[in-house]
This record gives sequence, structure tokens and C-alpha cells, in this order.
Amino acid sequence: MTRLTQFDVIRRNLSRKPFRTGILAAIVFLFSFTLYCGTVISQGLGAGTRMMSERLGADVLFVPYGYDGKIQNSLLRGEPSSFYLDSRFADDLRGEKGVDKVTSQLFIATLRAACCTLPVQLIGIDPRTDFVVRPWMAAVIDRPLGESEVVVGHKIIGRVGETIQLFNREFIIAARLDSTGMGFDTSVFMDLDRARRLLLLSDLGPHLNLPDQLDRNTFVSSTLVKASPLVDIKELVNALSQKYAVKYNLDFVVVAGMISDIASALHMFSGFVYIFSGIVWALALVVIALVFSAIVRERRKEFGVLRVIGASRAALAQLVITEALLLSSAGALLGTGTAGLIMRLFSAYISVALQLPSISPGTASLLFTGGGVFLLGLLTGPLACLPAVRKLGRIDAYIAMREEA
Amino acid sequence: MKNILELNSVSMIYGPVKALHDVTLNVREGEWVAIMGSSGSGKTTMMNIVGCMNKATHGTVFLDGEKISRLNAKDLTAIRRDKIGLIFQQFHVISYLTAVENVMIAQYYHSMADEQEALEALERVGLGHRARHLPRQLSGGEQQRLCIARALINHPKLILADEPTGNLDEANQEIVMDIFHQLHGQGSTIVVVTHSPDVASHAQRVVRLEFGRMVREEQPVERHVA
Amino acid sequence: MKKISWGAFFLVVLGTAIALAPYFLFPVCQASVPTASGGAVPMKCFWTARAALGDGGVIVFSGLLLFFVKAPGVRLGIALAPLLAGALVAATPQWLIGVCPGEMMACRMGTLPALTLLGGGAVITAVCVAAGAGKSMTNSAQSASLQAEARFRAGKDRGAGERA
Repeated sequence: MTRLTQFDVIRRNLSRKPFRTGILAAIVFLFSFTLYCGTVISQGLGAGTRMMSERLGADVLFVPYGYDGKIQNSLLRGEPSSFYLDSRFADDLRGEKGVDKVTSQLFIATLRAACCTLPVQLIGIDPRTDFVVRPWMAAVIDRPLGESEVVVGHKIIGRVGETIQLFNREFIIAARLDSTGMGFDTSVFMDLDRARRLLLLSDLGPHLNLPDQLDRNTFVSSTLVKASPLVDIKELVNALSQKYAVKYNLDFVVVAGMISDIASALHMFSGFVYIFSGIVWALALVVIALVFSAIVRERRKEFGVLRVIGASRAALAQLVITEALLLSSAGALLGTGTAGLIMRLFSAYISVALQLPSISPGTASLLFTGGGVFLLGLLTGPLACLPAVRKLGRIDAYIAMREEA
Repeated sequence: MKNILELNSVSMIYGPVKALHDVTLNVREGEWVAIMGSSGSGKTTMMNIVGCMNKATHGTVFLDGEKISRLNAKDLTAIRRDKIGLIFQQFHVISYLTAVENVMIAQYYHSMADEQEALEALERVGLGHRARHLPRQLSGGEQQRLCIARALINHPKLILADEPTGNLDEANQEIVMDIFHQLHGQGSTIVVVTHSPDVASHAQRVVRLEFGRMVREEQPVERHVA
Repeated sequence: MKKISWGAFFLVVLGTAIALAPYFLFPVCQASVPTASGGAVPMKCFWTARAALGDGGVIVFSGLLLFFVKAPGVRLGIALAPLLAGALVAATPQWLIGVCPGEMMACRMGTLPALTLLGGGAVITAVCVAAGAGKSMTNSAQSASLQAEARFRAGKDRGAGERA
């Protein structure tokens, strides 16, 4: 049985001109896709930056001269590296004015990859003085680590209780940390002294190129400092650098500055995303408005006939607006859906490509964002076709009908 | 028999041009009237006013007892939809809808589309076997018959036809006029606007317009015998 | 101008992408797994890439056939091949063979989602081609039936309007 509703008329019209329909839907698709991807990436970067700010409890990181970039890469991107610093620097800092807490860490890059793994960053932490990793390690393990135990970052392969091989020795995974969006996700944490012994006893040990002044039994990689409250970090860094930089061959990273740089990059990215999306949206509005204006002109005769056989102006307006709504809903649905799928499937790839701390938003956030983007895309068509609808209202039915097609 | 259509001193003025001067015309229920005139005589203007597609500048118009001369556009559309069946020279069908769908679209805007009723309307004009064809697959005569079916589907009080045979060959003209006779025989009120004496000759009464004025009424010399 | 078979075009593009992605766009790992005898065999993702190469070839071939074959019934049959091949492309890195377990491994980050997406795309395209072929078959049957009915009724009723 044939049914006929206004929807059937609209569907026929859209399928009569598949290329035009496709192009209009594609513009809305592009807008929805761009906006969704950009928003989700921005949200991920924002969450990563906030997490980094929370997790990095230190104010200043001291490293060997020339290794400031290495430690940033390790923290932000998980690029493993090894560098060595005199542990006596930490002892000297403890008595300094303006210094609240001091701890040392040992960074070791594992070189040999076991099957299906990449080199990981091994981080030795001092359980007596650490104030950076221990607070959030306490959330997953509330006891000291055993001799052969390690805590792994979120992206390290292996379940709790299974073993992981480092420098040809097997260690038991005692706990797994939550995702941080930082290099810690691909790091393995163990006791600092144990890490040092492991390195010295490994194949690398005899070939370790330590500077002469470093004690083979006590060297570290970096010293982390928490300033006392109300202390100006810049002034503290300047004072400490003047006193110890030459003695211990130091370089430093101010954490607030690092985070600030990342936040600036994030703002720029977000700004770019929203400006670009705005441009695409404006383009979509203009193109759809022009095309619908042409459609109304092209179908004047048809609209005249419909008016003559009894369609009201409101009914014709509804016809045109619904046509625009269908177009933009198809584009918005496909755009948002495709973007959601790609963001979900390629989330790890995108995080690595961005080279910035990033944490994928949760499902609820993704759905909320998707809903908002879809709504905006959906409204694009009806908004854009309003000028054409106004023009429709001015059509004289009889005159339009009598125009030659 | 009551008057279906009453025009009382109707005039239509476009700036300096008076398309209709003081026209008075009554059409009784069940009557077949032809309005004749050459190009520019005002017959199209009169058709637009009677068909609720335009409003007279002066005078009053009653359709089925309702004064339509001062209604707004929305109400005129409703009257046109509910009470008038319009047939045009150029057919004016929707090209992407099949024959039955073209009839159903008129039902849709009136009340509700009913395929069975639409098929019956097409059967009445001899197009039952072409119901699923698109207009481009129909001949000129068949398209005009389709228009007639569409005009009748909502059981209008008045059938208003503007040069219904203007684009048809002789054979199809005969077919269409036969259908009109059939409708008239069933009690329909028909007003045909035409410049053709042949077409006018089928009506019961012919009204002549010249330069916007009604100059005379006459009984046609020949009548088509059903 | 001949009507373009968009389904065929997309299948050729998708099939090519499936075949080449694991080698050029999102390359799989090059390392090997040591065996007990001291040798080395390629890792799982290597074999996944090989399988994708074959499946991609099947999809491209099906797409090329669809450019030339017009009969709806035959097109429907041909569409089954890329449909199954596309499903295999999506299933191979996920379950049938797999890729490296490490979240940060290139094959898991890039190759796996790429093949899942492209395989799904091939399945959807094949379904659309099959649906189109099915619709053509239905329309042909309806059209033949209508024409027969029209011929019958035209012979019977042609004078109905004329006699009215």
C-alpha cells in the first residue's frame, strides 16, 4: 500500500539530487567531525595538564647539565633515558633556606626489549624521602615493596601478580598505577637502591660511563625539590643555582614553567580548533543558505502547485525546513559518529602524536560532547535555510505555477 | 437551486489598470458556465478571484454562502483546498510523484491521504492502469485527466478549469470534455474559463468578458449531447 | 555519461587501503620472537599484515568486478565476498591472529584500529551494494509485473475514458 506524507515528499526530493544532497550533508559532516575531534582532544589535553599539575608535587627538578630536555621528554612522553647526578647535592639542599622537601630519583632506560615490549623507563625512588610518586602509589599499594617487587605504570604489559623482565631478572608486579597521561604510564617504579644495584650488576654495569666524581654506590639521576610555602620559586632556583650549579654540573626545570608552557600550547590548540570549527560552521551556513535559496527558486513552480492545491505557507515552510533538518541530521550523525569512532579507536595514537600529557575523557563526557556537537550540527540546516523560507513566503502561488520550468 | 458562486460588482485594479470592472455574476449549484474572452479580457483575473488565489479590490464574492472577498491568505487557502477543484491548461502535476501520489498529495493537504480513494478517482477518469506511472510516462491527455482526478478527490463544491483543453489534441479534447459532461451529469458545478468557442459550446451558459467588463451572457448555439 | 558505481569505487579504495596500511601508513613491528631452537619468527602483527594484504586484494578484486557487472543478481553475489573479507579484516587483528599486547606498540596503537575501521567500512559498503542490487531485483520484478498488468488492462479498459 502506498503511503504518502510530507516526509515521503522530502525524501523523494533529497534522493532526486543525490550529489547535491551529499555535498550539503558532507559540509555538516565536516563541521561536526572537526568540532567533535577538536573538543575531545582539547578535553584530553586539559585533563592531562591538570593531572600533571596534581601529580608532579615538586616545584623544581635538578638534573645534570644538558639533560633538562631529557627529563621533560621522559615525564611528558615517556621517552626512556638515563643520566646521572651526585647524590650529595640532595644532602646539601636539605639544610637550605626555602627548601621544604628534597628527594632523589634514578632514571634508567632499559635497552633490550623482550618480546612485544618497548624499552621502558625504570625509575628508582627513595621510599624514605619521596613525595612525588609515593602519595599516589599509596592509593594502589599500602605496604613497602618487596625485594623482587615493582609498581608499574598504567600502560605496562602484565597484570598484578605476573612477572616482568628487567635486565634479565624477573620482578613481580605488585601494583599498577592509574592512568596519568604522562610518561609515568610507561614507567616501572622500584626502590632506588635496588634499581642502582640492578643497573650495576647488569650487562651495562661494567660499561657505565659515570663522571669521575660520582660514587658508584650512591649516584642518582635527578633531585626534586618542594619549596617552602610563600617562597618565590624563581628566587630559590637562582640562589641554589648560583651556589651549586658549577659544583654539581646542574641544570634545572621549574615545574610551574613546564606546566605553563603546556597550558599555553593547549590554549593555542583549543583556540585553533574552535576558530577552525567556527569557520567551517560559517561556511556550512553560507553554502546551505545559498543552495536552499537556489532550491526554492528552482521549485517555485512546484511550490506554487502545492499552494494552489491547498498547502498553506506554513506547510511549505515546514517542508523546506524539514528537508534542511534531514540533511544536517544525516551529516551531524555521521560526522559525530565517525569522529567518536576514530577518537575511540585511535586514542593512544593521538596521545603519542600530540606529545603532550593527555587523558581520554570518560564515556559520559564523550557522550555529552557528542550530543552537543550533534545538536549544533542538526540546527545548522534549519538555521541556514531560514532566508530561503522567508523568500518562499513571498511566492505568489498562481504566478509561480504559471512560470515555465 | 442555491447559488454556489456570487460575484457582486467585483473590480480588480492594478495601479492605473482596471483588470475587472464592476462584474456581477451568479452561478447556481449544478450549473456549467463558460467564461469567454480574448487575451487581456480579464478572465484570468476573474479566475484568480473565484479560485481564491487573489482578492478583489472592490465588490464582494460569496462561495457556497461564505463571503470570501475579505478573507486573509490563510483562510483563502483553506477555502480553495476544501471547496474548489482547480484544473489548469499546463496540467501542473508534481513530476517526481506517481499518478496516484499526485492525487494523494491533494488529499494530504485536505485531510488524510487515502490510496484506495485516490485509485478510484483515477479509475473514474480512465487512468486506473497508470496509477504507478510518473507524469513523464503519461501523455498530455492522461496528465490532464490526472489533474481532473486530483481536482475531484476532495469533493469540491466548484470545479474551476482554466483552458482545460488548451494543450491537448482534438482526440484528447473530446475525452476531457466527455469527463466534464459526466461530472456535470453527476451534479457538479463547473466554471470553465476559455477563449475557445468549441469548449464554451459545451456549457449551459456563456459569459463574455471584454476589457474587464461583462458584456453579455448567452446560451451556446451547440450543445454536446451526453 | 555512465552512472558511477560508487560502491565499487569505495571497495577498490578501501581494499587498497587495507592491503597497504599495515606496511606504509601504520607499519607493523619488524622485530622477531626468539624460538627455543635459537631461531626467530616474526611477531603476530606481521602475520596480521599478511592476512590483511590478502583480504584487501579480495576486496579490490570484488570492487573491480562490480564496475563491469550490471546484473543485480550477480552483483548481489559478488558483494558477499567483500562483506566477508571486510569482517575478516576487522576480526584478524582483534581475535583471529592479533597484534602485540603492549598499549604503546605501533601495531596496537595504529594498525589495529586502522584495520578495524577499514574492515568495518568494507562491510558497510558491501551491505549497501548488496541492498542496492536487491532493490534493483525487486524493482525489475515489480516493473515486469506492472507492465504485464498495464498491457492487460489497457487492452481491456482503453476505451473507458473515451467512452465516458
